[in-house]
Amino acid sequence: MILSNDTKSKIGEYAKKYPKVKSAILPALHYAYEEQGYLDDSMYEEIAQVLGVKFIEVAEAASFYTMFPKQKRGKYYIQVCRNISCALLGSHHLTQYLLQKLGTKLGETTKDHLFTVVEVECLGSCCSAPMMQVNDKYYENLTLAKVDQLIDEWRAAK
Amino acid sequence: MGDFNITVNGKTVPAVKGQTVLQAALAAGIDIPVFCWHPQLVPVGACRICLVEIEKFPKLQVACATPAADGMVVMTESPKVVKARQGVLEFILAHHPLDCPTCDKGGECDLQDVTFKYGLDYSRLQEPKHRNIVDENSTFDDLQIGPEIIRNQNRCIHCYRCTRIVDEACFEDDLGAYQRGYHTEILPPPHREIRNLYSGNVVEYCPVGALTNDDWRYKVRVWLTKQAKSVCTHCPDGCNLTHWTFHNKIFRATSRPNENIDRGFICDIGRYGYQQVASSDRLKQPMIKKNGELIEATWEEALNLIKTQVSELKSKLSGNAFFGLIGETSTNEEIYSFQRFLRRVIGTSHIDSRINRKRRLTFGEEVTSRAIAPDHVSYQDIDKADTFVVYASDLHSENPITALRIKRGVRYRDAKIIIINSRSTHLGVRTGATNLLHKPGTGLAVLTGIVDAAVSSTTFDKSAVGLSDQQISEFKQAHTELLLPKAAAMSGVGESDLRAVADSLVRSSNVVIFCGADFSRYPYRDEELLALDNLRRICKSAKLAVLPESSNSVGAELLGAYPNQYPGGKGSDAKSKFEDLWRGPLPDFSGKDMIGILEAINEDEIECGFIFNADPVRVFPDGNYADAVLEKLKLLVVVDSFMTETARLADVILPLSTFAETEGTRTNWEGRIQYTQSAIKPMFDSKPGCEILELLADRLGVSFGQGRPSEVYGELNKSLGDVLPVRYEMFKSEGAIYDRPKHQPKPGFNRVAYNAIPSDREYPNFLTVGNADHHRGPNTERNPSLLKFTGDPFVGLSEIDAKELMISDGDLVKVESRTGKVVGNARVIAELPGKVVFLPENFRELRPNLLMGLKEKFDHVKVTKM
Ligand code: SF4
Ligand code: SF4
Ligand code: FES
Repeated sequence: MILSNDTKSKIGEYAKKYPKVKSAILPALHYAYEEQGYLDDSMYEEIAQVLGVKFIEVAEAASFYTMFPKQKRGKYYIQVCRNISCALLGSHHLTQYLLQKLGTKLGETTKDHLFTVVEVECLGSCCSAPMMQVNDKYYENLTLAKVDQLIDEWRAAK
Repeated sequence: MGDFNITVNGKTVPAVKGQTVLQAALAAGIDIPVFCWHPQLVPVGACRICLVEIEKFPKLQVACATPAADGMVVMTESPKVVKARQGVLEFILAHHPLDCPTCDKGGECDLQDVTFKYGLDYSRLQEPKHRNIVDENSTFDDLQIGPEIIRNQNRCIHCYRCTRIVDEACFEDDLGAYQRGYHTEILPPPHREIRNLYSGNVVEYCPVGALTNDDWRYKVRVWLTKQAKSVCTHCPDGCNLTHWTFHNKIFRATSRPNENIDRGFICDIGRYGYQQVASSDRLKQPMIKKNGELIEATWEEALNLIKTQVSELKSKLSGNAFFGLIGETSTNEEIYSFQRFLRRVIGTSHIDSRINRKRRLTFGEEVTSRAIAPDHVSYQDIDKADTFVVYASDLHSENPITALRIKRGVRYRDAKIIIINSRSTHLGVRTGATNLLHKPGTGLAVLTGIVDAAVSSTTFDKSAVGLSDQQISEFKQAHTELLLPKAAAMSGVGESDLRAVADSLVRSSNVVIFCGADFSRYPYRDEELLALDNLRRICKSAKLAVLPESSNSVGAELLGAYPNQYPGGKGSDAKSKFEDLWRGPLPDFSGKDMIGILEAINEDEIECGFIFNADPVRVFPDGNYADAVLEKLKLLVVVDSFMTETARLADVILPLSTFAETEGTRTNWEGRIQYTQSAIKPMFDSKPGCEILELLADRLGVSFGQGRPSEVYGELNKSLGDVLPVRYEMFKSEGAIYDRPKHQPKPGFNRVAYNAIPSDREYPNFLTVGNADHHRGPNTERNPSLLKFTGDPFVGLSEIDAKELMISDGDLVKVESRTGKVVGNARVIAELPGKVVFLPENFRELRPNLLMGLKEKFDHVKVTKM
């Protein structure tokens, strides 16, 4: 038992909105992710049970979406956009700078469990490139100095 | 004729409402390339190779998912279409390894063929190909994902045929598509394998070499092979197969789609079941017993020996001292020749094919004595039904493709399945079936309870099903002990469940009832048949199908393999007709059946016999008795392909060619007669059955001049034109159904008598026999691929019993009955009810018939930990 009863009942409730329960797999994954911060096989199993669908259907859907991390990640989940507008404005350097500064590798979590850096596809904020999303929040028109400042704030806040 | 016309490449093509452009084009013989589309699956439009140009559509459309509409003008090969296909291929090939020389699919690969036709000889994409690496130290990216199946992800073109076959068609869950884009991986769920009973289909229908199987891999190139039309002999479903051969050896079997039967999907038993043809215990040449030992001999020696011995015995004894047994996987022509040989040449009517039955009644007798009978049911009836009742059958393992056909009904027509059984079976998994799991031996109570629930309901419209108040009250009076709530208490099934099932049956417009092997084995089968007939009466329209045991059981029944029946189901009045036909006198019409024969041998009334393609020692429900009795014979001639337990007792063995080396016809459960080509020449010194029987007859002085199946069938056709109006040649294109006699049901309900299983203190458990995974019956053990799925021999125990006896998985246990014992490793099976011990039929080491007693009605056993 990983998911709380509360989450499970939320999933069960949500499923009622759909004519086909299969459609509720994605919202269910969101709930599970919200609670746990990541997803894994045992959660798929529990979701499958709550919804009455096959394990494999949940696992396939979860694996399809990069927005569901499959491992525990840092408190600050830094997602740097790597698509054309951001790339033209140096997102690649930004990523490298972040990794170097934090002493970590792409997709890995820092030892203090604070940061995980990944690259993602377009987040729809091209007008303010380069940009990144940290947890649920957008940080736009980035410069190295701005990044330094943010990291310091987060480190201080822990 | 279509509902409307469309135009394809300038040609007018009829189309039916609901058809796609692709289907209409294919039906008119216009080819459109496809990767992801499969006729038995819902189109998904995933691969885009089937793009076509349709007038008034601004963009190209996928032919596979675009419904045809009146007046549509379609172009399948216009410059725009060809260019688009080139583009699609360029993308597919961007990450395809193009390792055709080492790919098993080479030569029959859809991607190869379509690229050959449309592909460019260059690519504009410069990026390195993505590689799915399985092992850093190897350049082969092969991954074993099941006992038989190997995946090479690099070759996959993401058509999702495989995962859709598993999920949509088979209701299984052991293959899925993970990740996305070129990272997509086809994999079983974590820590599992793809091993469902239909898994071989994903290999057959993978359009490329991404999924291959051990069976065929790297053994031969496909273009070197020849193909032979065959029909599977492992169950009475009668799936059509192609045998692929090279240098007189079979390399694989694939489906040969038959719309009437399998529709292109076969089970693994049929797919890998050809391997036994090359098994090491094939009988290679005739053998003769000398000083208690079987030694190899020539055909001449063996036939002469039979001639001298039979003539000698015949001079002293009458024909009644002889008998014949024939297995029900033999061809129609073999069965006919065999019974003709015994009746006319040997002069005996002691003939039977039902060698694994303890019960004596046959349907023929049931029909005449009770005026009830199974209906004539076919696969087409399954397609029409909205409710299926599966009674006392593990349909998934006994009739895998019938089960698949039912699942189609569930998937596409929302049909319902009701399973009534004392053990839970795989058909119920994920099909939303209603499972009425009852205590062993109480099926009758369940059936009668359902009928009672139906007729007692206030909403029951008796006139709609032609029942009167009087008939209903008679039913109630006759079954006071089996009505609700007693039926529920007795069977352990909830009363509300019985009512719910009754309700859904009454509301269904078209019901098909199947009963299977557990039913056939049940000692009070005739009572159950009456109860099933009652169930039929409460439905608006219901058909009852009794599924036979073997691939040609229906043919055996039809062609006189029974003691009390001439070919065509003819009775004693046909004696003179057959005497004319076979130009000689026939013995008394009635003879002894299987049990009668064994008893007569035991009492020294019968001294000599012929056993053809059958292994009674292995399957007769008292193995010790069969063994001891057959040992007593003065002369036993065994004609078989393998060194069986029975063959070991023979005085003379004649090596029989297998189904793959023998041309002939078989009759499936529907009554459909189908033709099998011989795929290879007889192996070793074996001969096909009809030839052997002709040789024997000839040697014993009566030649029929019919050593070939077509000649035998010719006679059959001539003499039984009323039953078998079809000519031999006609089978070669498509099987034909013979019409069973129709029966007029008598009005009202039958009276059913319930017999409880007596309890037995000393032997408290009840033996149930069935199939282990990937096996069917006792004859599948010679196929290495199937054995990979099965694991070691086991004794199945319920959780309750295991706990009580303090037995855990793998413990060595002894199973004893009054007549024998076997020893094996325990396997705890969650689905088994308490007090039931399950033994699979296929393991030689653990023959369930050693525990069965001829005199015992039920098979009571006791289990002890060793
Ligand atoms: S493995 Fe074969 S059948 Fe499955 S998706 Fe890939 S190409 Fe299609
Ligand atoms: S379902 Fe029966 S006939 Fe069809 S392939 Fe399997 S064993 Fe053979
Ligand atoms: S066959 Fe039509 S899209 Fe694949």
